[in-house]
Amino acid sequence: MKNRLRDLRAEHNWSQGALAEELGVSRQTVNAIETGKYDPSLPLAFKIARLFEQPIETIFEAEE
Amino acid sequence: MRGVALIQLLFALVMLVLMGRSNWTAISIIIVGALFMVFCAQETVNDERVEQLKLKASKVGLLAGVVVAMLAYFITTLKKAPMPLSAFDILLVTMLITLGCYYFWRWQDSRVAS
Repeated sequence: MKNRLRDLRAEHNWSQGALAEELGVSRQTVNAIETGKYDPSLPLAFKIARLFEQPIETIFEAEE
Repeated sequence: MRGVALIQLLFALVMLVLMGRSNWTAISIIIVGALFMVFCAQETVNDERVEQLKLKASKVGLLAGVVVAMLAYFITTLKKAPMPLSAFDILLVTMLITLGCYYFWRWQDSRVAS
């Protein structure tokens, strides 16, 4: 699954560590999501969407 | 918990040095216990990715550990010198593979893409 997490984080000028703290996960998990190694669970995806105030579909996109 | 596991490992090492392999059963039990403690220890942030990686590592470790143990026994049997394996020997190999996989994947997760 593709995602815009890195771009959104850059817009807010947050480090991975800062974003991880906001989401309650580790920095490694944020990096794993950004690099596409890991797709977050639904609760975490909703948390990300709420944090950036955007719909989930605009942040995460299923790869064809 | 990791501190206690480290002390256990050091104790096992001292036992191995002092008593040699004659007391391997007791030594392997201590080592396996320490490795389990390391695996079950809480991470700084125990999130969903940690749980997923631990489960994945357990599955790989279990399968690989059993295969390695069976291969070792099979090869030594062919050489007419069967290696007596205890359950703790298999667990030891399993836990080493499990921990190796878990920490390797965790390290991969921390690598920022260029």
